[in-house]
Amino acid sequence: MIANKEGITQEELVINLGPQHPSTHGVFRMVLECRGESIVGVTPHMGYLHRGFEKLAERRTAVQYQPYPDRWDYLAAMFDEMAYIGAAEALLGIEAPPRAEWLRGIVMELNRLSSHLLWLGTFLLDVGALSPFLYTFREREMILDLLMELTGARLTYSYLRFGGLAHDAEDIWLKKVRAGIPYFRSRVREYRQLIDDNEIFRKRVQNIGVIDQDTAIRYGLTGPMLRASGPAWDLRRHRPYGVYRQIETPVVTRDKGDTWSRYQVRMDEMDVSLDLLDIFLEGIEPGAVNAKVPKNIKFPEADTYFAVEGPRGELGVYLAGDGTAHAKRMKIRPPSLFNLQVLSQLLVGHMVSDAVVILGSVDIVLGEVDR
Amino acid sequence: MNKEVVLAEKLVESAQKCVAEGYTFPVVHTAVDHKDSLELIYIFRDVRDMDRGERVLSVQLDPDHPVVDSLTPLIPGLVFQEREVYDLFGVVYEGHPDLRRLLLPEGFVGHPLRKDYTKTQGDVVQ
Repeated sequence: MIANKEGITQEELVINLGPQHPSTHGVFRMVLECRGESIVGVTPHMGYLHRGFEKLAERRTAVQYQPYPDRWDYLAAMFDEMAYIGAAEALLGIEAPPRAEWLRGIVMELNRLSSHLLWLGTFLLDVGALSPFLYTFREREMILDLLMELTGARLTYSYLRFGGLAHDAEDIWLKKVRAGIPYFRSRVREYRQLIDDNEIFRKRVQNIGVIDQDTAIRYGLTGPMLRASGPAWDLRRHRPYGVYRQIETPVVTRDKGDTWSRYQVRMDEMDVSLDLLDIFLEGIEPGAVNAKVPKNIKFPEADTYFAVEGPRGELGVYLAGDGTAHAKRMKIRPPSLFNLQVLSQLLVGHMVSDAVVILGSVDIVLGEVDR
Repeated sequence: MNKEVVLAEKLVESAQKCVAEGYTFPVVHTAVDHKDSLELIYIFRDVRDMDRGERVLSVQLDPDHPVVDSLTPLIPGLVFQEREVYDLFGVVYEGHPDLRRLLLPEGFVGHPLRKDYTKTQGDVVQ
C-alpha cells in the first residue's frame, strides 16, 4: 500500500484471469497484479487439465499407449504421435520404410498448417478482429477434412504405428492434397494482405511482449517463440528425423522478439509448410508403409530422448525401458510449458488489454501444458 | 544415451561447467524411479552452435531423502521442470525460488510417479 501526499492510499488490484476465460485458450489461469491499468506481477496456475499421461505410459503396454499421444496437444496430434512413436522406434531399433516417412512428413506439415491457422484466427480474435477467425476456420476445416478422409478422425488421428502407418494413403487423396496447395498458398497471401498493413493491428502488436535472444535461450523457449528472437534453431534442420533428413528445411527467423515478430514467423512458416508439402508430394514413391515389427514389443533396458519440431516448438519424449512391454518412465517435453516460463517477463509493465494479446502470441495448448 | 554421471554434491559445479562451455539451453529435466535409487536427468544444448550434440547429466539420489541443489538460479528455464519433478517425485530442490506443486492440487498427498505410490495415497486434503 502506498500513501501519497494527500493521504490517499493506493493498493494493487488483483485480477484473476481464467481458468474459464476465452482469452486463455483453454483452462489456464493467471493472477494479475495491477497498478491502475498496468501489470506489476503475474502468477500462472496450471494443472486443470492434468490427466496423468506419464503415469499411464507405465500402466499400459507400448502398443496400448499408441492412441494416447493424440490427446496431449489435440491441435497438432500428428506431432505427438511422431514424438512417441519416434522415441519408441529409436529404443527398439525399428526404422519405418521410405513411403511411410514421406507420408508422415505430409500429414505433419498439413497438421502444422491447420494448427497455425487456428492460432491465427484466435490470435486476431484476441486483438479484436472478429472476421479473420471465420476465414481461417474455413481453411482449417478443409485440412481437417483431408486428414479425416485419410485417418477417419478430425483431431485424434491415431495414424502412426511402430515402424510405419495404420494404412497407406490412396493416390486420389494425394491428388487432393496436391490440388489444395495453390489454394492454401493464395489464402495465406490474402491474409497477409489483409492483416500486415493494418494500422490498428500493427499498433497493437509491435514492440509488445519483447523477449531478447539470451532470455529466450536460457528459458528454453523453442519454436516460433525462439526464432522470433533471433536464433535460427529448428529441429527439422539441425536434428533432422524421418523425411527431413533428405531435405534442407528453410528456417524462418526474425530478430525483434516482439509479438509482431512471432506473428511474422508463424505466417512465414505456413508458406514453408506449403513448400515442404510440394517437395514431399513430388518425392513420394510407391512402396510398403510398414516395417517388420516383432509381435510382442518389449522396451529394452535403455533410455533415449527423441524430439520433433511441432508447431509450438520442441516436442520431445524421454523414454526409458526395463525389458517389459511397459515403459519404465516416459517424460513428455511440452513446448508450451517452457514457453510459459517467460510469462512475467512478457507481461510485466504492459497494460491489461495487452496481456490477452501477448498470451495469444505465445500459442499455448493446455492439453500439452498439463498433460 | 551417453550420460555423464555426476555426484549430487558436484551437480552445481558440473552445471556451471556446462554453462561456461555454452550449453545454456535446458532441453529437458526429469527423474526416473529405479526403486533402489532415484535418477535425475538433465539435458543441455548449445543452441548457438548447431553441430554440438546435447550434454546429458545424470545424478543418483537416495529415494528416501531426495534432496539436491536447485539449478534454477543458474539456468532459469528449469523453474517449471524442477517444480514438476518435486510435484510428481518428491525431490526437494534446495535454493529453488518457488518450490510449489505444478500440476497437482496444493493439498494433494503423495508423489504419484514414484513406483511405490498407491492409489489410496492420492487424497486431497482440504
